[in-house]
Amino acid sequence: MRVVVADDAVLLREGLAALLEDHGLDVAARVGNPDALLAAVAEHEPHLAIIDIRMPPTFTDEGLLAAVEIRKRHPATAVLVLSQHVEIGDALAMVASGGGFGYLLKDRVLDVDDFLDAVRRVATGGSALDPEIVQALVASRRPRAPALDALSARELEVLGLMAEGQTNAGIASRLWVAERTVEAHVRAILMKLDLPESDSHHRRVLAVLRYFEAMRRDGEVRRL
Amino acid sequence: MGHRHIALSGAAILPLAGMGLTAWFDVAHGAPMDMGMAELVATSIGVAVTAGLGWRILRSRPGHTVGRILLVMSYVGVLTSFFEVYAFNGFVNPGRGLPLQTAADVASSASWVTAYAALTALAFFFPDGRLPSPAWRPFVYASTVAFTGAWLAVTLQPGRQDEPFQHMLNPVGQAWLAGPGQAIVAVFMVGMLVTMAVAAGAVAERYSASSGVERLQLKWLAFSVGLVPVALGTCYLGGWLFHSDAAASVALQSALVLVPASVGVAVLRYRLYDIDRIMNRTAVYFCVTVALGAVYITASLVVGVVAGGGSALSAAIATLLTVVAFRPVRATLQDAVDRQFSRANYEGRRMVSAFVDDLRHGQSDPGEVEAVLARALDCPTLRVWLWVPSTGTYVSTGGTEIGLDRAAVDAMTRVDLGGAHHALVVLPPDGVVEADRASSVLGEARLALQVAALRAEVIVQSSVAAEARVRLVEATFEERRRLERDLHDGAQQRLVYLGITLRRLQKSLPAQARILEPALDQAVQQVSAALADLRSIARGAVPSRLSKGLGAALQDLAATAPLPVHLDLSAEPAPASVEAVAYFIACEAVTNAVKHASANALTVATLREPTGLRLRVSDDGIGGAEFAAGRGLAGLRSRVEANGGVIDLLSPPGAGTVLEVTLPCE
Repeated sequence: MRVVVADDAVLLREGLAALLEDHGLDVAARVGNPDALLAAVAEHEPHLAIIDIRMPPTFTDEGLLAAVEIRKRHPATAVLVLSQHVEIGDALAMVASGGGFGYLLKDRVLDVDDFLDAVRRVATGGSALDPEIVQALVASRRPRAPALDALSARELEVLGLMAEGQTNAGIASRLWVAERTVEAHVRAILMKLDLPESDSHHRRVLAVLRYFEAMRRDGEVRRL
Repeated sequence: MGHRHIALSGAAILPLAGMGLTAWFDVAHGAPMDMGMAELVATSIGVAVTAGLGWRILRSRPGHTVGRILLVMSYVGVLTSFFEVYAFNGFVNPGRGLPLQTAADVASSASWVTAYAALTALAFFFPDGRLPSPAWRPFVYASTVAFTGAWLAVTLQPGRQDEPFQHMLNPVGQAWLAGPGQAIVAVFMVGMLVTMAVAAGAVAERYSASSGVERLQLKWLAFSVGLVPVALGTCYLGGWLFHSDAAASVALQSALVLVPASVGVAVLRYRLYDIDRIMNRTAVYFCVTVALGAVYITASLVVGVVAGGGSALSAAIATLLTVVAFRPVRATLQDAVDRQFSRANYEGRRMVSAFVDDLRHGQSDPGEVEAVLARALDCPTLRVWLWVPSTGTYVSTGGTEIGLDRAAVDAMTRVDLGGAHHALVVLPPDGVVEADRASSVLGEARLALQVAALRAEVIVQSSVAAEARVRLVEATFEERRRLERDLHDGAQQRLVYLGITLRRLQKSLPAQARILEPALDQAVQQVSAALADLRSIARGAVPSRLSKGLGAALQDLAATAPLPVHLDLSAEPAPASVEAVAYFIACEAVTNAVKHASANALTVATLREPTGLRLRVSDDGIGGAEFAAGRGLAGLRSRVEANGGVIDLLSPPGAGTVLEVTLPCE
C-alpha cells in the first residue's frame, strides 16, 4: 500500500515513516506542510495520506482542511488524521461525513497492531475513530437520548466498537464472541436506535456515527 | 509729543500752584485760622485730585473732552477759592485796602453756576468724551447759552451781596435786572435747569443703549453722583444730631473729591474696580450701619429703662447685642439687596446652592455642574474643566480629556477649595458676565466642583485599573498558550518518537531476545501514560477546542459530562482570553455541580452583552450551595473576581442552583 506521511516535526515524520516501512508499507513521500502534501498526493496518488492535524502556518487545523481537500480532489485517496488532543466535534463531523476518513490520537501509533488495522480499514474505504473519543461519547448521558439507555451493556460495547470503525470480525475478536453474535447485536442496535439497515457494514458504521453526531448537536439552542 | 506733554503738565500744575498761592495769601494776610484753613485744605485736595485726573486722562487719551472738563473744573475751583479768600481778607482787614475786593466777591458768588455747568458738561460727554449722537449738539449749544446767561444774570444781579458782605452793593449790578429783568433771569435759570435735565436724559439714553464696558463706566458715574446727596444728607443729619457744621463741610468737600475721582476711575480703570460689587456692598453696609445703629439705640433705651438710665451695663449690653446682630443682619440685608438690585446674582447663587443641596442628598449628578453654572450665569458657552491630579490633566464633565496649554489655563478662572486646585471655568471675555456675579456664583459652586473633580479622578483611576486588568488577563492567556504550544511541540513529540523507537526496536528483536518484549511493552505503556498526562496538562492550560470558540469547547464539555448538559449558547464571540476564562469557570462549575448537587441535569448558557460575557450554569439538584471558605465555589469566586468579573449565586435549599458569572469585555 502506498502512503504519504505529512507532519511538520521531522523526528515524528521520519519515525512514523520508518515504522510503516517496517511493516511493509510503501512510504512514497514525507512532507511538512499542506501545500507540499497536496502536491505529493497529486503526484503519487497514494492509497492513504497520514496527516498531522497541526501544520504551518497557523498550527491549528491545517491538516484537517488539507484532508477534506484531498478527499474532494482525489476520492481514491483515503486520509487518516493524527491529533494530539481530543477534539470531539471535528473528529465526529469528519468521520461521519463518509468513508475513507480516520481520526486518531497520535499516541495510538504506539498500539502498533491497532494502528495498522485502522490504517488498512481507512485505506479500503472504512472509518476509524479513536477509542478514547468514542468512550467519551458513549459514556456520557445525553439529555435527549433515552434510546441509548435502552441498550444493554453488551450492546453499548458493540456500539462503541462500531463507532470506532471496527468490522464485525474485529468486534468479535475484541469481545471474544462469535461473529454471528456480533451480527445479532448490531441488528438489535440498529433497530433500537432507529437506524437504517444496510448490507454494507461500512454504511452501518456511518449511520452510527451520524447518530452520535446528531445526538451531540441535539439539545443545543443557538441564539444570535 | 514732547511739547504737548510739557504743556499739559504745566496746565495741570497751574491750579495747584494757584491753590498754594491762595493759601499763602490767606496766611500772609493773617486770616482767621478756624474753619477757613480746613476749608482751604479740603478745596486744595479737591482741586489737586481734579487737576491730576484731568491730566492723567489727557495724557493717556489726548484731547479727551472729559479730561479737559476736569481741568477746567480745577481752574474754576482755584479761581473761586482765590477770589473768596481775597474778598474775605479784604473784609476782615478793611484797613489793608485790597483793590477789587468787591469784584472778587462778585466773581466768586456765581461759582455755583460754573460748578453745575461743569457737571452738565460732564453728563453730556461722559465717558468717551463724545456726544451720544450728533443730534445732541444743539442741546449742548443751548446749554452753553443757558449757563452763560445764568452766570451773567447772577453776577450782574444788583443789590446787596450775600453774607458777610451785606454792606456792599454789587458794583456791576444792572438795575434793569431788578424789576422786569427778573423775568430774563428766571428764563435763564429755568433754561439752566432744563438743560441739566436734558443732560441727565443724555446719560439715561447712553445707559439704555450701552452694554458691557460702557455700562460699567456709566454705573461709576451714577454711583459717584448719587453719593453726593447721600453724603450731604448724612452730614446734615450728623450736624443736626451733634451740633456741628464742620461735619457738613467735610462731607461736601469729600464729595467734591469723590466725584472727579470716580469719573477718573471710570474712564481709566473701570476694569480694576468692580463697580457692581462696590455699589452692592456700599448699599449693604450703609443699611447695616443704619440697622445696627437702630439696634444699639433701642437696646440702650430698653436696658436703660429696665436697669436705670445711663448705666455702664446698658452700654455694654447694647454693644453686645449689636455685635451679635452683625452677621445675621448683614446676611439678610445682603440677600435683600441682591434680590432687589443684583437679581441675576441672587438668582444665580440660589440656583447653585440648590444644586449643591441636591448633591449633598445624593439627588443629583456631580457631572451636571457645568450645565447648572451655565444656567446660573446665563452663559451657554460656559465650560468647566476638572483637574485630575493623578494624571496631571484636565477632563470635561463628560470625562473626555483635554490638553490645555499654559496660556489657555491662565486665561481661565481658577477654582480652588481648601488649598487644592479643582477646576477651571471658562467664561466668555470680559464684560459679558459681571465679575462680581461670576465670582459669587462660582464661590457658591466650589463644593460641587470639588465633588465633580474627585469623581472624575475616581473614574479615571477605575478605567486605568480596568485596562491594567484586561492586559493582565490577556497576558496570562498568552502565557498559557505558549505553554501549551511548547508542550505540544516539545515534550509530546519527543515522547511519541520515543514510543515509536521502542516499538521498532521491539519489532527488530532477534528471536533470542524475544524475552525482552514484555519489558519493552511496559516501557511503551509508560510512554503512553506520560503522553496522556501531558495531554491533560495541555488541556488544563488551553483546551485546543477553544480555538474553535467557547461554544465548541462547551459542546465538548457537555459531550463528556457524566450528567446530561443542556446548552444554550450565544453565537457572538468574545475575546479569546475572556472565552478561556469562561470555559475554565464553566468546567469548574459543572464539576462542582456533578460532585455536590445530586442533580438530574445541568444547563449551561452563554450570553454576549455589549459590555461583557455572561455565563450561567444551573442545575435541578438539592440547592443550598454557598460560598463557604475552602470549598469549590469560593475558589470559583476568587477566579471570577481576579478577572474583574461578577458572580451571583442563587441556591435555595431544595430548589436547584443557579450560578451566574459576568466577565467584562468590549
